[in-house]
Amino acid sequence: MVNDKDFDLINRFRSGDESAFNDIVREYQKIIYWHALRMTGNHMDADEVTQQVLIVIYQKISSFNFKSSFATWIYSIVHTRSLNQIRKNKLKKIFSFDDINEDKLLSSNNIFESFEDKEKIEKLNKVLETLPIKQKEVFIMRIFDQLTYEEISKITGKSVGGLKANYFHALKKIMEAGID
Amino acid sequence: MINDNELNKTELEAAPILDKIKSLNEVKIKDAYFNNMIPLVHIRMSKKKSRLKIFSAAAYALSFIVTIFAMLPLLSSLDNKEQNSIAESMNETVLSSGLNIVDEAIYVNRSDKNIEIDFPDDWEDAIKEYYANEINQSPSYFVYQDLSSEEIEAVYKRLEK
Repeated sequence: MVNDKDFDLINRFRSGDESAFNDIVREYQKIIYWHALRMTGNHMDADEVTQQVLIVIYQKISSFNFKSSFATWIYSIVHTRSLNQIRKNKLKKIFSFDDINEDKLLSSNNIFESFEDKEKIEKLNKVLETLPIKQKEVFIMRIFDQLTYEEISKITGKSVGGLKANYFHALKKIMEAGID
Repeated sequence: MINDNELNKTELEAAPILDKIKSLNEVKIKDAYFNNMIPLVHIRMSKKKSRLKIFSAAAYALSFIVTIFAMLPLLSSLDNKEQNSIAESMNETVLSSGLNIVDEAIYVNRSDKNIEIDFPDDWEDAIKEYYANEINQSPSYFVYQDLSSEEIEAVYKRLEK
């Protein structure tokens, strides 16, 4: 289940080699960040989720049981944390008078290499925002992370049939909405 | 339940729009952001650790205070019990050793109706109260108990010294 590189990294860390954690960060930080960015739709939240996930990995790696791949285990943490962040934002929106989205858009100004890249991401987020969360999660994992339904099922804890149904409806919705 | 064929067909139909969506994802993020991730996470973890230490110390102090408050009634009852047991043991000593303890500890000056008791200064109020009560309730307590008139006189003489 776990590839040799991951197996070596995990065992190094478990035997007390702290530098192995830095290697894990280098290896997985981009996957974590991108998944979080697509799920939450902004850099500020994606950055928060990424840091949280890396801390969880550091704290919980000793409980990793090698039954799934290391990547699947990490995905399940990112996924849960992203959903938590989305819920937090919904609550904040209810109780806050300020425009939170404006701050979040400003925070992503310095992250992308070019202005065109920033515009592309904003466009992508607009498309993804049209989907309900259940359709969005399976759509992101199928299209961008290229995971199988079985892997997504392990990460989300949902049935393969249910995931296929959500993916089908996501595709229909995106085709109807189109892209400008 | 969605049929696999139907799903594949829809996926094919959506292919052009999916390609567009995938192209939107082809963006670059500045290297500096990812280069800073390791120190950032380590700093955050150490902050979390120190926050945890503060919380655990506060929780420990709080539990200590709560325990002390919870034990207050128990401690006071223990104190009472201790005083009672001292009084009881004193009583036993008085009864067993008879006049000696009267001579050493409690000076009783008795006329027919009034009793004056002079307790040693270092005795607790509760013990004093206990003995005063005992002596008042029983006129023949201590000195008069089972003593002949000569013996009573002898006691008074010793007390007068």
